[in-house]
Amino acid sequence: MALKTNIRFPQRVGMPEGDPANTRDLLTQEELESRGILFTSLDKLFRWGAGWSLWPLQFGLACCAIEMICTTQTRFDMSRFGYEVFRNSPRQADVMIVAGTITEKMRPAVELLYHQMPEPKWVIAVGSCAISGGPFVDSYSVVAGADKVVPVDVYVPGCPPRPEAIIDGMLQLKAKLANPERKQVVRDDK
Amino acid sequence: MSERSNAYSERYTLNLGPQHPSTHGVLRVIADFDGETCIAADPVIGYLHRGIEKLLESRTYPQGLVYTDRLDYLAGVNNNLPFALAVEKLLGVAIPERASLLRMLTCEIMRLASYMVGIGIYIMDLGAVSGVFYPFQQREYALDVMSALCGARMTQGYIRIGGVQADWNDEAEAALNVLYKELPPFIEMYHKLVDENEIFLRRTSGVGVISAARAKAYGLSGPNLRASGVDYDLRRDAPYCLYDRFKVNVPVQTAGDCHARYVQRMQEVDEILRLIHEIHAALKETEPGKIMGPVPKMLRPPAGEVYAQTENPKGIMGCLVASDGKSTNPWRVHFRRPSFDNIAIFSELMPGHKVADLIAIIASFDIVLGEIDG
Amino acid sequence: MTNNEVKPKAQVAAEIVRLPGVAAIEGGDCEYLLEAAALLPAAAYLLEAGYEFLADITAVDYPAEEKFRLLYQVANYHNGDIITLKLDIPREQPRADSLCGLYAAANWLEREVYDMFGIEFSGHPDLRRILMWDGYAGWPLRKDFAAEPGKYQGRRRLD
Repeated sequence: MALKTNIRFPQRVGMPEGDPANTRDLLTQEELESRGILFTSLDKLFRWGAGWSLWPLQFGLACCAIEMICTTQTRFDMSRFGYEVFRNSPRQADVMIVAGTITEKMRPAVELLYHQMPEPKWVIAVGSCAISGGPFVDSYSVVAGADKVVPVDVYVPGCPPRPEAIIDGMLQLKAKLANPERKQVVRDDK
Repeated sequence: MSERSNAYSERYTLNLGPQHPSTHGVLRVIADFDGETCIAADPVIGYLHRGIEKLLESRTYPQGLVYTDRLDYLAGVNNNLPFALAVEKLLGVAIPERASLLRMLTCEIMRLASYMVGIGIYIMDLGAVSGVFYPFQQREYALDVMSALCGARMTQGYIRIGGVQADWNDEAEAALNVLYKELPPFIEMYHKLVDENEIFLRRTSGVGVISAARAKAYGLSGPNLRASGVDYDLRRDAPYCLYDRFKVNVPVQTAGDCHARYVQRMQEVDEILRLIHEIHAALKETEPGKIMGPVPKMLRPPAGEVYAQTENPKGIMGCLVASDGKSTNPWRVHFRRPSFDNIAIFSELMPGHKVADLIAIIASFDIVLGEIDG
Repeated sequence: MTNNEVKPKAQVAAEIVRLPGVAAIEGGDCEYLLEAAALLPAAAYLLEAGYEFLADITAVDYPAEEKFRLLYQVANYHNGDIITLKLDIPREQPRADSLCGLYAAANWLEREVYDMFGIEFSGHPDLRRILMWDGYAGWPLRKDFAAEPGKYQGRRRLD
């Protein structure tokens, strides 16, 4: 079964004959996709656009945040890819880059920010603290990984990862957006 | 204020952070305002408290050293040093000269990198976002030296107990020559860009004035202290490693406001560059190879409690190591973090200022939350 | 003492042991073991002698000897001399006097010791948790503190 995308589209294309009130006659998404080329390519267009202009939420927590800042600076220049527009408000962002250790005290804030972000949204966990707690995994006050708090789409390993690795993580997210039907995406695959 | 005009001003509580572009990390300041003027401020920290001191009790000494980088993560090696010095004092081991010089050289290079972040983020927080790119490019040159030397850009773990990790090599030499070439024109250009800028002057002059007496009472250290008129720098007054061989000039400002803290850092950048030249020259005169002292493979230091202090980019960093004499793990490690003591003054300093001044004050202090929360 | 002078270490060493309850620790460099009542007079003496820099307050837990040891590192803004004051307090009812009246730096330093060890400082204007959140149960840096069961605790000590 194909994975559903986040983007909802009014299901009026290719309505079947019969009583619309009869819900058993409504088509599933796959049947719609097989009938309506328009549906498929608009969705793909939105995903293509989103992939080239992800707006990250400015959410640096610890050391990885500094490498994230370096990624936006002149040498590594994330704006070549369209991602330099860090939004301060979660309402305007669509990707949350968790860069750093999440502590128990910070956990409610992380959850709240995630819920404040509007759909569609994604999460990139940068650095080993965000992936699994990192070197602090057995501490009394550290959450063992961002995926204990929010659903993570891309993991970027490193302590801290080099800016090139963070850019690679963003491009990996773009590849994931371009291939929503795959469970796991390797970036250079077509 | 509501007394001067007929305007009605409201009292409210404003929560700054922990997610905020200008708090240098996860700092939270709960401030009460009367209109636009702050009447009370309470900094709340602990959002990055990772329990490093407790973790170090279940790691061996060399393993624990890796955690120290994560305290002041802008200047990795500077944090390794007090821990290494304290353990070496317990062990009673002597460090070869070349290792000491390499320690000093890398500490000064990362001090430069940390000051670049401090200066760049300062101007960005005040609104001049394009000003941040220039210091960060200089930071890249400094990080190139570190990455050629030991492989890591940021949290290096280069200073080990007994010496350093790797010897000076040709790539690091080439990268340092690039830094020598690029830094002086940058400093000159940055002075022209920022020093006489009217908006910068009006936003920072007279804001956040700390007198020398209050600075001393609160235990401030580093550039924040020297900008308030107190002439104290551990590299000159209590030299560790081989700093007594070099002349450390210490600039001091008297105004104690945010502008003075900026001028202080810019003047110290000149001093750091000069020190790097001198230490590099002294390094080239020592013979390559001896970078580690006679330290056993399994470290079991004798019992005792030792406290060692160094001058870090943020201030004076101290490390207390208590060993019980039998175990490979420390009994207790405590870090005296300079930024922790530096921001205690906020609750006294911020009242009376406007909303925008709070940002200027936080930015001028150049804090790093990894260190505050530990 | 004016702000410009500080008494030399040798003079401090001679004068501070004359205060009741202060004993020099052998083998240590300007380290003094205090009785509980001697803390405030010793700190006042040091402040007056020009040691205005309270560098650090911390505690070490010795459960085998059933005590906490409080360590105060007092320095000055002229040279590198550090006077270490050590104070042993019983583990059952840990309390000590607060230095907030003498050194403003003691405020946050003592809050951190309270947060991590549960040592109460009498005379502190605002003693509440600083690193953990209000309402957190437990004193993390005590040796008998255990985080939730099942949480990976790391390697045990190699004794």
